[in-house]
Amino acid sequence: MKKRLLYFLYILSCFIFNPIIGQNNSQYTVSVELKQAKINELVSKIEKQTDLYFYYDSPQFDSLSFTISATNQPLKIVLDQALTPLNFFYTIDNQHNVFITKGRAINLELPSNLFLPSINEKENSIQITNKIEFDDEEIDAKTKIGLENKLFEIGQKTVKISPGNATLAGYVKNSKTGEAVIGASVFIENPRIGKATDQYGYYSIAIPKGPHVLNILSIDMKDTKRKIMLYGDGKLNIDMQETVTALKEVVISTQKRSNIKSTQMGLQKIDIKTIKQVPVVFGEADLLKAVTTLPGVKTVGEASTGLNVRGGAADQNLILFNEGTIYNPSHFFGLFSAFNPETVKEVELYKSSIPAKYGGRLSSVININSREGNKKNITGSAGVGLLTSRLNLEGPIVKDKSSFIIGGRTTYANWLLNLLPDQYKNSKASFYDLNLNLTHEINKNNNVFFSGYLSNDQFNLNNDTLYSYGNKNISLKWKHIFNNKLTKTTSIGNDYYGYNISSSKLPPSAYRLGFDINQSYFKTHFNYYLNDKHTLDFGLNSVLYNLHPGNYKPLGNESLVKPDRIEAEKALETGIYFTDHYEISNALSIDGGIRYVIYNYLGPKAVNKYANNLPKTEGNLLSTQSYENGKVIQTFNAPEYRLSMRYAFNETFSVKGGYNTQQQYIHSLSNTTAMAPTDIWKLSDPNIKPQQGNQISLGLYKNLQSNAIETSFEVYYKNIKNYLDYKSGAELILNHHIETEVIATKGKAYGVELLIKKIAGKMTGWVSYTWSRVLLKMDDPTNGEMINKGAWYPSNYDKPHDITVIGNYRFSHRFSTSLNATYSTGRPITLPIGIFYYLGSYRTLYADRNGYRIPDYFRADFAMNIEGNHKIYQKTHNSWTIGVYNISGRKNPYSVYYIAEKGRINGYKLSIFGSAIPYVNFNIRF
Amino acid sequence: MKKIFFIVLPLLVILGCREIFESPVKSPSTGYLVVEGAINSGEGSTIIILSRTTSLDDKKMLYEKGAIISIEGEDKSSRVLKENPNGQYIGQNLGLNSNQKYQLKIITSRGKKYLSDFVAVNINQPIDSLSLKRENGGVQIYVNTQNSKNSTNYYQWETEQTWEYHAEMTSALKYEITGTPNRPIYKAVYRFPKTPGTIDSSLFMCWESVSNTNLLIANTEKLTKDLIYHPLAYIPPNSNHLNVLYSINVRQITWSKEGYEFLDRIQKNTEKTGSIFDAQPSELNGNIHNVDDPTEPVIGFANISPIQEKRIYLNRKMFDDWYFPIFYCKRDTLVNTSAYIIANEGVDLIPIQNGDCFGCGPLDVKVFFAAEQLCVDCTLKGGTNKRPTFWPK
Repeated sequence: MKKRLLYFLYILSCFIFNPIIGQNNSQYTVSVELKQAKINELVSKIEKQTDLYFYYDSPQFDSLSFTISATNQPLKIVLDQALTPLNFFYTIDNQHNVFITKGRAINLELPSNLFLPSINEKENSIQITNKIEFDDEEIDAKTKIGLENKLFEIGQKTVKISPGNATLAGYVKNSKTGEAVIGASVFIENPRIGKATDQYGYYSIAIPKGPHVLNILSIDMKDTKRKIMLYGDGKLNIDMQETVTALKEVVISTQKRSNIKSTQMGLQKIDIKTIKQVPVVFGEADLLKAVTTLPGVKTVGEASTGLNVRGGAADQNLILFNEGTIYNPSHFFGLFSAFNPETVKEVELYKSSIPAKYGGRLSSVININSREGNKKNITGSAGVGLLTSRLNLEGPIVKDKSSFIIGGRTTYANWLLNLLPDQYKNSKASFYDLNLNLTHEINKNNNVFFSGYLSNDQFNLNNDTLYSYGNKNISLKWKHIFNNKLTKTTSIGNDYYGYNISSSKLPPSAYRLGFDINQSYFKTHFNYYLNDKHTLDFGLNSVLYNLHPGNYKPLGNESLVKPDRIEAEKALETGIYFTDHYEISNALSIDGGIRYVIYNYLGPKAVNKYANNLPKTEGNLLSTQSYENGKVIQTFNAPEYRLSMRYAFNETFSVKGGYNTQQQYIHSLSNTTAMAPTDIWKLSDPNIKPQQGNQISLGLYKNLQSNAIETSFEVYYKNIKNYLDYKSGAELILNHHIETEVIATKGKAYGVELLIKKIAGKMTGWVSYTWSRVLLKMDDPTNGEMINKGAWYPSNYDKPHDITVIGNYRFSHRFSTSLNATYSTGRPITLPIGIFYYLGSYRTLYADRNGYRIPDYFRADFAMNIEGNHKIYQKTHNSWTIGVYNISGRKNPYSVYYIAEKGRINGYKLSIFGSAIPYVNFNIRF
Repeated sequence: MKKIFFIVLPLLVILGCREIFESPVKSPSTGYLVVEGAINSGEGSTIIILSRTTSLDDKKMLYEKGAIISIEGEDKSSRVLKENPNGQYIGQNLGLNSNQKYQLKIITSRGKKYLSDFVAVNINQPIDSLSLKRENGGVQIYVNTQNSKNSTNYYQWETEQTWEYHAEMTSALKYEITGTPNRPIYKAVYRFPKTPGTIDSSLFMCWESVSNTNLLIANTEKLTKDLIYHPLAYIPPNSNHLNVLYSINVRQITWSKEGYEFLDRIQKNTEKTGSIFDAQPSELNGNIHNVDDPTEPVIGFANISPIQEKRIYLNRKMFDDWYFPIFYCKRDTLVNTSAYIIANEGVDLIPIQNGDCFGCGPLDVKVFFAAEQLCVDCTLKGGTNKRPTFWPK
C-alpha cells in the first residue's frame, strides 16, 4: 500500500505544480484510417502524429474494434467518435498524457478532502495509479482487475438460457512464464462445484448454465476469479499471477488444495520451493532427501537415497520422472539424489491409496514432474555450490506456443572424498546429469511434451575397480482434448539403466562386467468427466522389459577371463484400469478402482527346473528347459483393487479409509544395506514369484486456523508376500541360477503417522512423527534355509520411532532461515555373537540376522536463504544459501562393524559425517 | 549476462570418522566346536586344531583337548591323528588315495561324535613360481600356478615371511654387576675373555617371521585357463626386511567349490566389512556336523588336497634402488668406573667396544664406548635370535 500512496503523491504533485489543461486538445489534428482495428493501432496512429501518450486498460478493449475514417480532423472529434459510443471517456493532462477510462472521465481537479485520511480515498487513488505504468507489478494488477471484471460469454449465445449443465474446460497457466498451474482449484460457490487442475493445468467442470463467478485458487498464486455467462459448453483459459509471499498471516480459503476434501490418502506433495528451503548436506537441494522428512518415509542412512516407504524395500518404490522410470535415483555413493532441482517442479509421493493408473511396485509411487520452460522469455539460472555447479536455460521456441528447458549439473567433488572416512580414501568420483524438456501447443486441443534425461556416475571406491552407472530416459507425451468432458494422454518412452564394473589391476583376470535394464512403455490414459457426481479414469499401461543381467568380458590382451553372459530376460507387463470417482454427497465420496495386470515372461530363455517342495539349490536342479524367442514361458495375472473413501464432517474435518492391493514383477536383489549401484534387478519367472502386497489404512484430517494448519493422523497395516531376502553368503553377481541365492519371505508392516503442517504465514514447516515396524519371516523349510529359526525378524530398515521437524521462518522477502531436526531409532544390524580362531586370525561368528541395532540417530541442520533485491528490471537476480549441516556435530553412526585386523577383531562405528558441515551456495537467475 | 563471481570459503572440516565400538550387548558364551586345518593327502604333516568359539570380549583361546580325530575312508580305512598340546592333532604322511573319498571323525572327551561329509581329494599342481613386481616403492610377491588339466581350481595359500636383520652396532663388552641390588656396582668387561674381540651374535643377528593373518584365496572359475597370478605378500619400502636376507614360504592348498565358498564367506564376514556397499554378515555353515544333533553349529570344513610348498630368498642387492633407512645410533664414551657409569646414565646403555688405551693389558677396559639398547640388541625390534632351521648359513 505504501508504494501506491507514493505513486499517488507523485501524481498529485503533477497536478499541483502544473496548470491543468483539461480537455483542451484543440491544438491537435490527426488523420486516421482504420478498419476493424484494435485500440493499440488507434493509439499508435495518434501517438505518431502528436506528442500525446495514451494510458488505457487494454483488457477492457480486447473485444472491441474501431472503424474510423478521418483526415486532418481535430483530435477531439476523432476520439469522441471512437470512444463515446463504447462508453469510454478520456482526459488529457498538461504532460500530454491521455487517460482513457470506462464509464466516466477522470477528474483532474483536486478532490476537496484530499488531505484528510479517508478510507474512501484509497479506491480513487488505486483507480488512478492503475493507469500509470510505473512498473510491472502495477501493470499486472491492472490486467488482473480488468479480467476479473470482464464478463466472459461462453458457448453459443442465446437470448434465453436453457436449463441444465454445461461443461467448461481450459488451462490454468502462470501468466509470467506460461507454465501450467497444477492442482489449482477451479470452483463456483453456488452450487458448490469444484475441480482441481491436472498436471497439465487442465480443468473441466460441469456447472449449471447461467451467470457465475468462477474462482481460481492455487498455492503461491494470487487468487483470481472470472465472471462468466455460461450459455453452453465452452473453453476458458485462465492466467494466474505468482504472489510475492505475503508476510503477514493470510487467511487461506477452504478450497485451497484441501487435504480435507480429496479422497486421496497418504499423498504428500512437496514443491521445489519447499525442497530448496530444507537444509541439506553441502546445500545441494535434494528431492529425495526432502521426501525422507515426510512421515512414513525412512532411509537406512546418510549414504543412501534408497527410500523405505511404510515398511517397503527400496525397490518397491516406483520413481517416475516425466513418466519414465528411474531405477537408480542416486549420485555419488547415494549421498545425493539424481534430480536437478532447477528443472523440477514438484514431487508427489503416494504411499497408501495409489491411483489405479500406477502399478508394478508394492509400496509407493514417487512422481516427479519437471517444469515446463518459460513460454514468454528466455531465462536461466546458474548455481555454484561446494560440490556441483548447475546451469539451466529455458525459453520459448515459438512464443506462447512452445518452450524448452535444459538443465545440467556436474561435480568437482573429489576433494570431498578425502574428508570422508577411510572407507572413501583414495576414491574418485564424478557425476553429471542433463535434462531437456520441450513442450509444444499444436492447437487448443493438442499438446505434446518431450522429455529427455541422462545421468551418469563414475567412481572407484578405495580400490582399482572402476564403477559407472547411469540412467537414460526419453518420453513423448501427447495430450488430446476430445471435448470438455473427455481428455486423453498418451505417452511412449524408453527407460534405460545400466552399470559397468571394470578392474584391470591383475592383467590375467582383468574384466569388465556390464548390466542393464531397458524398458519401453506405452501408456494411454483417459479422463472422462461424466457429470458432477462421477469422474472416470481409465486406460492402459504396457511395459516391455529387456534385461541383460550380466555380461562379463575380458579386459585387455593379457586377460584370461572367460566371457560369460547371463541370458537376457524379457517380459511384458500390461495393465488395464478403470476408476470411478463418485461424489455421493458433499460429505461423502468414494474412489473405486480396479487394475488388471497380465504379466508374460517371454523367451528366448533357458529356465531351470527344480524339484517340487524342495529348496531351490543347485543340488535340486532337475533340468533346464529352453524356450524360443517370443514364447510365453510363464504368465501371472491378478486384479489389483484400489479403494478409498472420504467422509467430511465439516469443512475442516474429515475421515478417510483406503484399501489397495499391489503386484510387483521386477525385483532388486541385494545383500547390502544401502542401495548399491551393483544391485541386480530380476524379473519374475517360473522360479521367482511376483511380490504381492496389500494395505489397509485409515486417516483423520483436521485443519485449523482457516486451513493454515493441516493435521493428519494415519494408521496402516500391510501384508507382503514373496519379498526376496538373500540367503547367507549369497553370491548375486553373475549367477546363472540366481533363484538359488534368494528366498521368498513374508512380511508385515504397520504403523502410525502423525503430521502437523503449517502452510502459511511467516513461519511454515511441518512436524512429522512415525511409529512403525516392519518384520519379515522365513519359516518354510521347503523353500530353503530358515532365517532366525523361522521367527519374525526386523528388516534392515525397521526404525520404529522417527520424528522430523522442518521449519522455515521468513524475516523479510529477502531473508529467511530454515531449521530441520530429525531423530530416529537406529536401524537393525547383525552383530557377532562370538569369536573363534581360524586360519591365522581371530574371526567373528554371526547369528540372529538383524538382532541388534546401531545407536540412535539425531541431526539438526540450519540454513539461511538470502535473496538479492527484488527489483524486477535487473539483469540478474542473486541468492545465497548459507548453512550448517549436522549443527550439533553428532557422530551419527552409519554402520557398526567388526573386522579382523592383523589377526585381531576390532569393532568400529562408522559415521559418514562426523562433524558440523558448513556450506555455501550461490545462485543466479537471468 | 554478468560474470559470476563466487568465493568458496575455506572449509576445514573432518567429515567422516571411525571410532572404536564397544558392543553394548554381552554376547553369549557359545562354545561351538571349531575345526581348523586342511588334510594333507600327500607328503608332510596334517595338523587339525580343535578349539571352541568364545564370547566377543573373551580373547583367550579355548582349545579342545582329549578328543580323538581320525580320517575314515570309504574303503573303511582309518587313520588316527596324534594329539599334541594346544589342541593340535597331527598326522604324518597320510598317503591318502586320490580315488577315494574320506571323512573326518571327531569324538570329543565328552563323548560327542562329529562327522564331516565324505570329501574327495582335490588336485593340487605344484607352484610354478613366485614372481616379484615393484609396486608403490615396495615389492609385491605374486604366486603363479598353472593347472595343465584346465579344470577349475579353488586355491588357498598360507605364507610365512622370514627375514634376517642385524643390530646397528656390535657388542664385545658387557656390564659385570656386583654389589647389592640396592647399590649395584657396574663394570664393563669383555663378553668372551678368551677371544676378546668376539661380538655377541645373539644380540646382533635376528630373524623375524610373520604368517598371513588375512585369508589368501583365489579361484579360476571365471578364467579360460586354470592359471593363477595372485598377490600374496608385500614388502613395504623402507622396511628392514631386505636388509640382509628375506625368505617367503608359500603353502598352496586347493579346496572344493563348497569349501572355497566357506572360506569366502569367512573372508566376507571378517575381513571385508565396513565399506558402504559391502555385503551384510551371514551365518557360517561348514560340512562337519554333530551326529546326534545336526542343528548344532560346527565351524570348519573338511578338505583334502596335497599341499604344495615353495620358498624363495631375496635380498636388497636384487633391487638396484632399494632404499633402507639407517637408524641413527649415538656412541657414548664412558670411563669404566661404576660412579661414572651411573652418573652419566650409562646404566641403560650396552657397552660395545673398548676405547683406546695405551699401556693397557689385553683385557683391561679403562674407557669404553656404549650405545642404546635398541642399537645393539636386535631382539628389541621384535625378532628372535634363534636361527630358523632352514636358514642358509
